[in-house]
Order: sequence, then C-alpha cells, then structure tokens
Amino acid sequence: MRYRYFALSSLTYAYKAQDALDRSGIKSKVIRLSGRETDKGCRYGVEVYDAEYKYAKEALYASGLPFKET
Amino acid sequence: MIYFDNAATTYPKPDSVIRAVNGFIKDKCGNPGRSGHSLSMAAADEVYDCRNKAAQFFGAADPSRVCFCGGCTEALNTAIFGCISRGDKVITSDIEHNSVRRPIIAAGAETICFGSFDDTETILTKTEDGIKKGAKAVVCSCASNVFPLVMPYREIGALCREKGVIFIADAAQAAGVYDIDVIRDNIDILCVPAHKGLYGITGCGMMILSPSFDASRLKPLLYGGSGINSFESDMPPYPPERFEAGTLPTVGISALSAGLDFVTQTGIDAIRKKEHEICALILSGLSGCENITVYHKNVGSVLCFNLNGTPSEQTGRLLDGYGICARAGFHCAPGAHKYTAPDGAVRISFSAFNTKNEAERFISVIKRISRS
Repeated sequence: MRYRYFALSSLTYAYKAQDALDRSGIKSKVIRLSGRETDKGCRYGVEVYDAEYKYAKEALYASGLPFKET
Repeated sequence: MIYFDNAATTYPKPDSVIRAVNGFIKDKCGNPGRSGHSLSMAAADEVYDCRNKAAQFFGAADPSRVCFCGGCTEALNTAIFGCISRGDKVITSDIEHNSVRRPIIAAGAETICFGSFDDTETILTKTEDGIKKGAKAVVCSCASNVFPLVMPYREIGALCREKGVIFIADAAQAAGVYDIDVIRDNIDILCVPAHKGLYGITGCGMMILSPSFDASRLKPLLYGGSGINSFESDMPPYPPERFEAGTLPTVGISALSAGLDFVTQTGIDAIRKKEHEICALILSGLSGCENITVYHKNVGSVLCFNLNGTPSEQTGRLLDGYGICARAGFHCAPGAHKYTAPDGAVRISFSAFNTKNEAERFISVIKRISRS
C-alpha cells in the first residue's frame, strides 16, 4: 500500500485536516513530515492512501484549510 | 472534612479526572508537537481531543481557537498585554481579581471602572461612556470570586460588538457553572482555568479566541519553541501555536479533558442548581444570627461573611479546627473588599460535590463559634 502526504501549517491544522477527511469518509493519519529550511523547518501533515489522494485533495480544498502537496 | 474553598480550586476531583491523569502519565506522556513517534502523537491526540471539547463547550466552533497555557492568570496576561498598550483606556469593574487588575496597570493603561453592584442599565451606560472616551477594551470577570454576583457579560459583550471594542472575559469563577458561548455572548477572548469549575488540575488554563476575533491583533506573551516553522524568527502567525510557546501542560490538559466530560455529563445547570441550593440553605440558616454579617445576600456559588468583631483569618482558623476549609482575607481582589471589612472577609464556595448535610454542619459550627 502506497501513501501520499499533504503538509499543513501546524499540528493543529493537521488534525483539522484529518477531521475534514474523516467527514468525507477518507482515512488519514497525522504525521510529522520531514522539514527543510525552505519549508521554514519542522512541519506536520496528513498521510492518505495513494488511491484516495485525489478525493482527499478535493475534500481539503472544500474544507478551506491551507495545505501543500508534498 | 468539609471543603468550602472551591473558588480557589475544586476538591475533590472526579474519579474520572484522577484516572485520566494516571492513564496519561502512564501511557501517553510524550511531548506533543515535537516529534512524530507514537508517544508524542498519543499526547498530541489527547491535546487535540481536549481542544475540540473545549471549543464545543464554549461555543468557539473551531479547535484552533483554543490556546492552552499555564492557567487563567497566564491567559489574562496574554490577552491584556497582547492588545493593550501604554496610554490605552480600558473599562473594567471595581471588584476585579488581581489577575485582571494588575496586568491592566502594568500595561500602562488608563482604567475606567464601573460599579459591579450597579444595575445592568447603569453598568452599560458607564461602559458606553467609557467607549465614547476612547476605550479600546473591556476586561472583566463573568462572575465575582468574592460575592455571589454575576456580571451582565452578555449585555457587555453585545455593546462591545456594536461599538467595535475588544471584550476580554475572565471566566475564572464562571466556567463550568454559567453557560458561556463566545460567539453568542460576543466575547473576543475568554480566559479559563482548568482546575476550578471544570474540575481539572492546577497548572493548566485556556485562552479561547472567538472565531470572529482577528488573532493578528494579539501579540504573543511568550516566545519559544512551537514544534513548527523552526527557521522563522517569529512565532507562527496563527492560533493556537502562536500563543503556545514551549511544552504544553499535557497532564493538565488530560485532566481538563476528563473534567469537561464530567461537567458536560453532570450538566452546568444541575451543578449550578446544587451549588445554589447549598448557598440558599446556608443563607437561610445564618439569617437569624445577630453576630454574623453576610455581604451581598444573594444566592450563588460563593458566599462572603464575617463574624462581627472577629478578624476573618481568625474565623478561618476556627473553622479549620472543625474540619471546614474556607478562605479568609482579601481573595486577591482588593476592590471587592471595599464592600466588606478592613481585614477582609471569610469566603465559602461550593462545588458539585458538596452536600446539604455539609451545609447544615457548617451552619451548626458557625452558630457555635459566633456565640463563643
């Protein structure tokens, strides 16, 4: 099973993203992402199944939460 | 022991709170927002769960508006220093706790006071006058920590919203006893302790921002690690992380989470009714005693009195001798004691765990002491 990731602006926003995905029936996990200086350092995000990536992206757009694809 | 000092901190704590604390320390005591390993994430899950509960409990709608801190005093300091500058005008009441009064003074603000015992219309008129004089904010408690007195916080909030003035509410005594909803009540910043009416433990509190309040208007009080954006010089721009420098009081948050469950399951109305019944019973029992002065004879969750001719601290010690915990002195609210006696007064305060038998025992003891 392959996973894809979305980066959120904070740990709290990662949990909010998980809530938004839950509401859309998409299983996800809050994880700590590897950070780079260009990303301003440490960050958190959500992990979703590759097969659900497209739907997860749509759900996150609909939620209004700012996110980045990684 | 009869514990009547619940306005200082509630005791006992619900068994569920004790179990939550033990369970958290045993199984989840990682540092949330600092790592990605299972123990850190278990703590983070617990923190987010509590944010959700608190947001729902106080009507904030959004868990990211719930900022955890070390207590209600820290929340008030963050709110007051965050948006009040030297020379600003601030409206407040004449009986505020030092956790409100001192930060306003230290921030260099000019204080405009309304009388807490005035009727709602007079309070609103004075508040409006202060706003016309250029006040930037209203900062006041929702309920007094000395008298059974609830401020008209909803009416004050509505006026602040209408006039575009910041409303910072201190819910130290009101949270868990009175219904507070930051959106409905137009509270911009609500400051809450975990260890009083929410039955958590000391060392934890919350600053809850209304979803309509622009958090960028508020400077952080503390700067430090946030677990994100480590290369940035400033704190993150958005709540809650903007206001949560350093490690969170996770054990306190786990207790608060269980405490919120306890209050929700028991019901705020049921808790308040019980506390008020005990207060009414005591008021009634003391009504015939000539040697006792009760200040502001209302029914509430606190009651303030003196035995005539006896210093309050001495009365407190006498009560302690009978196994009754009460708090004497000035209760960190010097303005309130303009309405009592030169050496302060004795305060008794109630919780969901007090009983009518305890009230009757208290009446019996206080009558005996007052005759001796």
